[in-house]
Amino acid sequence: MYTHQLISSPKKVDIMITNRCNLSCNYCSYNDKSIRSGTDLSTAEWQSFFAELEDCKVMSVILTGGEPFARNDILALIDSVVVHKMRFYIFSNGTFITKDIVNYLVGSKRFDGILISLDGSNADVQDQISGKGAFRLALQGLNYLLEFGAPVAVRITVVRRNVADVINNCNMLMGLGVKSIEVVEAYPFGGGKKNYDQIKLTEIQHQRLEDEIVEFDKINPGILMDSGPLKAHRIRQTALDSIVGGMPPALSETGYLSGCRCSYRNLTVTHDGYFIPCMYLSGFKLGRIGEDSLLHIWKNSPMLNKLRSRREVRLSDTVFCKDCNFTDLCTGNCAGLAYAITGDIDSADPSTCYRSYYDGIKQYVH
Amino acid sequence: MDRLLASSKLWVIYHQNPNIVIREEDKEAVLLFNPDNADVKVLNTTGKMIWELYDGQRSLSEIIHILSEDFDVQDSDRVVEDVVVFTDTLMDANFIYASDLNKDQ
Repeated sequence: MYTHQLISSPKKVDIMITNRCNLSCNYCSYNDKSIRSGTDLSTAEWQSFFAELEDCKVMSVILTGGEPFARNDILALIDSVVVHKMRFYIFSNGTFITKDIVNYLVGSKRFDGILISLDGSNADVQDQISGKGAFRLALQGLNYLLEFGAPVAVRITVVRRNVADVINNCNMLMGLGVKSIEVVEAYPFGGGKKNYDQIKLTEIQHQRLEDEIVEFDKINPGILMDSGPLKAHRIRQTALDSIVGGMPPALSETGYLSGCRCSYRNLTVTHDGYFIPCMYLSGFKLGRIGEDSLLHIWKNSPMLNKLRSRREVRLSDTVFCKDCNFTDLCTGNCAGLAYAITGDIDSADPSTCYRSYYDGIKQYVH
Repeated sequence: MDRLLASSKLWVIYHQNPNIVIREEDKEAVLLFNPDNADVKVLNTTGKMIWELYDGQRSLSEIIHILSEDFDVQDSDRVVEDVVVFTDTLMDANFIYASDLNKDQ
């Protein structure tokens, strides 16, 4: 059993600043009525909340959505973030980005960067996923960001429609000057869950994607972020090193549901002002802006405390991991994914399960 | 350390940068965050005490005097050196700033 001291308040708060978006990506968590319902907080309500974040000594926010730039008042809101002594990062589809906006972001001196979603290397692929005209506008926004030297990364969310285009896209982005690319598979949340049967990769597609990504990373080290298929491969490789080479587990706190540490660091707020543990656990409303204080929720929320106590749960005691031979190497990964896939918050995340790849590993062992 | 350079700093009055975020994680440690450059400093009890003495009123010499008395220090040169180095570190990352003596006069 491990014990951990809780920090005085979250250092970072993820803010889903709007439920509005001009695109309609079928994998998006917000592409679901149950999540998208409710009304955006007003400018004044967000500004008041940013003052509360300053009082709580929060250091940075991530502005996400929906599409943050779909709000007409987004620059006024960023002004308020800056006034209240915080830095900010933005998740965006890039389609609203203009030269003036890039100038403003860079000039704020508090801009940590922006993650642009661009799922296809051309309009044919991208527009089928996101809607007509999405590729041209996103590419234009991305080019403005690169032109001004803004810290920009690109996320490619992989679904069946673009799985064959991922490496083309990575090469195209590198050619533009993008230095950081994140490749992730669509998650079964919100719209992604609703449409999962249509977007989820087949086993063959999944394996081929992982092989291609690992190969790309070898040829172009440092470009791909440590997430998605690359991270899954790296984690399993460490397991293989342990099994074959007798190396100690590369992860810390193995044997327990310790892989997800978000509840110790961060908090998320929805467009309509509800505190939630993270965007992947949006069904767990912990309280609401204007009604409950952030600090009270941070220190006292039964749900947050339950998530924190997952670190004390032995993997071998959980239903999903019972009888698994890999529990001494594993930390259970993401609580949000675990819940989305199994419906059990005290479960390991099946999407990065060693046992699922056991047959593949076994042939190396023997 | 250059003694002349160090002694020239002893009469400077320092101010905390008002933009600094101060997170008190426990009784013994404080985390300072500068949102303008994303720099972070973690201070122990002594560092925290010095930080609180950058009040725009006291010179570095007075701060060193207070510390020497509070900790009953024998090696005063060592205290001067440590405090000057600590102060330089915070100055370099804009956690504190020095009074403009010309303007103040």
